[in-house]
Amino acid sequence: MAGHDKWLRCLLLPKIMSENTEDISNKKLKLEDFQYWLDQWGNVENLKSFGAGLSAKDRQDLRANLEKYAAGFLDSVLEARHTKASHYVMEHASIVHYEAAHHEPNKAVRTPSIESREQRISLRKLFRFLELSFRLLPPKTRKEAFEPAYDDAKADYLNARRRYKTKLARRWLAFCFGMHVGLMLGKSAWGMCSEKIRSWFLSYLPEFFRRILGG
Amino acid sequence: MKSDERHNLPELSHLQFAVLEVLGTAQKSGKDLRQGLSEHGLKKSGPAFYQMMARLEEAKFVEGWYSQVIIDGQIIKERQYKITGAGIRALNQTKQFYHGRTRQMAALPAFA
Repeated sequence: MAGHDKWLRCLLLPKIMSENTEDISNKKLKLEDFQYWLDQWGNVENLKSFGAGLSAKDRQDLRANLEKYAAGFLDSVLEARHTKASHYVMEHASIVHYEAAHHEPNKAVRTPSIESREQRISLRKLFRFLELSFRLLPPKTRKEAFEPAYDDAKADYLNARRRYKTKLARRWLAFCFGMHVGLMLGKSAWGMCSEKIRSWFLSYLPEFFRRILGG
Repeated sequence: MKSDERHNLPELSHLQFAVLEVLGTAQKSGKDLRQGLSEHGLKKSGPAFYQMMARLEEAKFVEGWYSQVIIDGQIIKERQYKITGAGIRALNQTKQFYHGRTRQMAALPAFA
């Protein structure tokens, strides 16, 4: 209840203040009053004395307002929980579907496929590092050219990761994926350069590299 | 070249033409499109391909949007493409242009 009360104060009070300014001025209620009523309302012990000192109609209005906002708040909490749960189900369903589709009859199933928390964290760290590194590119190039290509590479990497489950294989895959993304980053930056900059840069390179870079 | 002929030049480059031809009227993901192009011998790196698709989108020849797929518990965005009416018109115009030129060349004595 204490946590609930804290959320009410943090989230709902500004809403009440912004949406019911007129009511507040009519009833001559101040911010502190609302704070007080919220504190009272949040505490079950004090429900009996809730709104004491206000007229019956004002008390009813205030309570209706508070209940309305509290209901909205609870709905949003439930919705967030529902989204989280459905993501969890989708996540595990995708793993189970994959296992079912790739299961060969007459072959034992080796499936530690639902990963440990540590594995997931390291995977997220890798993606986070790579996603931060391509912030080097200007927004337009990043959005138009790099991000869709990166998503394709990520999908390939995750599909490969499903097949190879040993630690060494996964490290190798992560290394390859990192290198691939690094090369893509270089290609995007290269494609972004104007022809003049490219030819100036190529003029300083040996013939071998010039051929590779298409000069 | 006469000015009216210049106006009839196709709006699409050969690469853009190939992309629209591979795309057809179906909805395809960027990955499938790239694969289709590589089957025709047109290999492009990921960023270069998507940059070209962005130009086609800017010219309103194709429509692009993201769809979400879940792979191994990770949500991945996938770029999807579909040809627009303007794209179909440009494709047909380019086809007609090259058909016309081929017929003209076939009529020349050297090719007869």
